[in-house]
Amino acid sequence: MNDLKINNLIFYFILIFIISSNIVFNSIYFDLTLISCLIIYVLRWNETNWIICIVLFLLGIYNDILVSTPFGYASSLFLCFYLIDRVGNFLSIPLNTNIKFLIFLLLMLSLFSINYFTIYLIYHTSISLFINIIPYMVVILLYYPLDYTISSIQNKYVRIK
Amino acid sequence: MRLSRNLRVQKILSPSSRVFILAIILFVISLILFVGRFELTQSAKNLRSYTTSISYSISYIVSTPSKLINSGIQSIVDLKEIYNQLDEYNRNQLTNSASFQEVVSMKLKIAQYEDLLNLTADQEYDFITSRIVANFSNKFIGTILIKSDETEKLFIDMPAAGPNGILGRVTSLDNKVARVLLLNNINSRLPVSISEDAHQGIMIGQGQNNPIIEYVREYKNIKVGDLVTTSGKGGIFPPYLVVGKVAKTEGEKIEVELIEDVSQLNHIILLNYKFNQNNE
Repeated sequence: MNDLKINNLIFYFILIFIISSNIVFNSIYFDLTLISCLIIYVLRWNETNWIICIVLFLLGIYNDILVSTPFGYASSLFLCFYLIDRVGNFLSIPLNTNIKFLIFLLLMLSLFSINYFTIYLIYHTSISLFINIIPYMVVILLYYPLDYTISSIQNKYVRIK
Repeated sequence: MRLSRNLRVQKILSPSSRVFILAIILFVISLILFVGRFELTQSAKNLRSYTTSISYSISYIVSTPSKLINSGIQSIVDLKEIYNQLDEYNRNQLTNSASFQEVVSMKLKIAQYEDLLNLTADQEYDFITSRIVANFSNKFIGTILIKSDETEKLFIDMPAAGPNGILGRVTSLDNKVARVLLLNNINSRLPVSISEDAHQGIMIGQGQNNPIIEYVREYKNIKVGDLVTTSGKGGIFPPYLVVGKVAKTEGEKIEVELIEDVSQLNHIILLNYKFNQNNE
């Protein structure tokens, strides 16, 4: 139980660190909010720990305040990826990494489309398709390396237990 | 029957289901905040103002390793740049001495002509210099965070400029940091004046793309390379400050290349301009 708590604390800290790094990195290639979503999606969270949801919600608000995105944007993304991961767990999808990746790919593409059309319809602005799709592509490319790294860290904890 | 109902209730109230329901509730709350555009309300603006410096302080401490890596990389890049500039400087040193004489004589001539034409001096404003502490200009909601001390007299909608031209305006501030909304932000609207004929229009931010100018009546007279300046209408920005130049024209759509690149700046100037006080 303690290992699991330490494990969670490490990942909370990693998420805070990534979100906080927004003030240092200003790149068109990396969207740290999307990278946080990827981490939330690939992590195997404790199913009975309700603090996770609260922490993800608060981290989202923290991200919104820091980056100046509309309130609720990052927290809905974080919780959406968490919920889809949980639904996948329920359907035993984690056993197959490729299916999990395909779901992530579809999620990313739909998220990009929603973002693009929201900006187009609400702000009447057509943002550059090429520049804006790059961070999504980077996150998709990072899926397997990050999944491998996080799985090996979490498996280590399971072995210790 | 009763047993199955109890089992069902137990299943619903099992810890994992409760966590799942909580996650759904929080997700719905987040969606309501986002879709309901809570950030437009006054309470959201106040909340953002009060919490920006707290979140900045947290991120400043937490992101120390990132900052160290970034500053290390930046130092290497800067060093390389200095060597290149030194080479360039050595090459241009001879020609510069000749051009310096030319510049001095030109300035003297301009002063003489201004004197002859009885031109009034350019309007000058008090200004405060502030350091950029975080840069989010590469996003479609382009903003920067700047240092703001309590002693300094910053105010909401204070115009922010670089050494060459206008950058944006202050949108939120507290005793530690202030946020400047940049001209490329999709929420930015700036009344501008184009070319020597002073065609009026509104410049709208387009995220990572160049801003565009809309609502120009005489758009057919606009040419690529025309200077775009603030018009002073709206009372937030002073008039005649350089914004950029026309980069492209496609019918009514006029694209502007901004004169200031915020990623190249460490400090910005905040102009103490208040329309009512200065013009009435």
